[in-house]
Amino acid sequence: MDELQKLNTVFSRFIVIFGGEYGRCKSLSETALVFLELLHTQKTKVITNMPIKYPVFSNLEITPLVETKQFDLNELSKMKNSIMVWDEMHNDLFSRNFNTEKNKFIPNISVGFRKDNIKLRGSLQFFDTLEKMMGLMMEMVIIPSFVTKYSSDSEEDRKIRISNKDFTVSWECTDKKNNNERFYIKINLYPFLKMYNTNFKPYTLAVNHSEYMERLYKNKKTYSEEYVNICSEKINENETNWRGGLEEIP
Amino acid sequence: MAKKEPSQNEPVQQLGITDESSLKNILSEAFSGADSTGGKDDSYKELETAKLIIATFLNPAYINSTSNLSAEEIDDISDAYYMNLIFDDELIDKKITSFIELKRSETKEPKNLLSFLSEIAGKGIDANRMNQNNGLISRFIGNRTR
Repeated sequence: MDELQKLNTVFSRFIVIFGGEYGRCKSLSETALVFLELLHTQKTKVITNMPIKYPVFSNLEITPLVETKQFDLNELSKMKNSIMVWDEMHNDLFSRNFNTEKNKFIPNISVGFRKDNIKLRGSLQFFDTLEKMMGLMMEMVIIPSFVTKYSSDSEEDRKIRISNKDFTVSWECTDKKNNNERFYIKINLYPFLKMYNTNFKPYTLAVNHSEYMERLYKNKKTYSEEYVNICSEKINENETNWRGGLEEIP
Repeated sequence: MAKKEPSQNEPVQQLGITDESSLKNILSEAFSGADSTGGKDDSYKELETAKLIIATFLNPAYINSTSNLSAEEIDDISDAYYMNLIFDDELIDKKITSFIELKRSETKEPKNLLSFLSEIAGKGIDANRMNQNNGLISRFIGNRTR
């Protein structure tokens, strides 16, 4: 397979997750992948919980991902033919919440994403911390690793890397949809550095998907009314954080 | 006649490019070293190993010789060869060569070249080996996705 064929395979998968611990360029890899995917598929919508800026593209609609209501099936229909970027997704899909109403929006991903042709590109550190159903749904896992090591001191390594313009990583792709076939894509992420904010902290999503709100209303009617206000504050907070992060991108 | 609904794969509006030369620069920089080094997939490794072994055996000096290498030994030689691409120690290369030569001198159940080559060709990619999650992958994937 040449690089384009490999990338085409990645683009064709609905759920692609970047994994690995700090400093592996997971978020940067997501930024690069979405850039290439937009270019290749000509999609014009991105919904993301981390700010991304692609000055090279016009007609591109980037929407912040701030609440779980955005996963309701009727809401997903508004995002047809889009790419969703979900950085540090274990924050919202923590494995220990698997049996609670909080995670009940996940089945919508398995239904809505394919029907509405939405591609999910996410990242997380350890797969065991991820909600089980989400883990089973993922179609491809990519672990980025630097090709060259400049220094064992991470800070020093980063400085040399920037001066050498070398953020070349090897994406170790495991295609779970195709019998765990494994292939590698080598890419220099340096040109994508200015398209995302490395210091941005994605806040957890406000939990207000319809099933959760219905359950809350049934069980704690008085609290559910108060919860609506709490949620709207949380949504505002998330949006402010997101827009602040976007402004920090040069 | 009913109006044709747009297909799911057809974007409603076209993605525009604001600066074509910047785009070209980004892409050329991103894939500048894609073919030189970096990860090689398992099928590539297997193929390179097979080519190396075939090239050694097709050397006229050895063409009529026999081999007593077992499947495990061939695997070991293959592993040693690829590890030595990293460690780059001449002694290991010599050790591999002399081991192959020593094996040729054994006469118990000798294999001819043709059967040896057919074994390599038939071996292909070991699907079980590829499915084993080892090292980095298993550390991050854990049990969640199996």
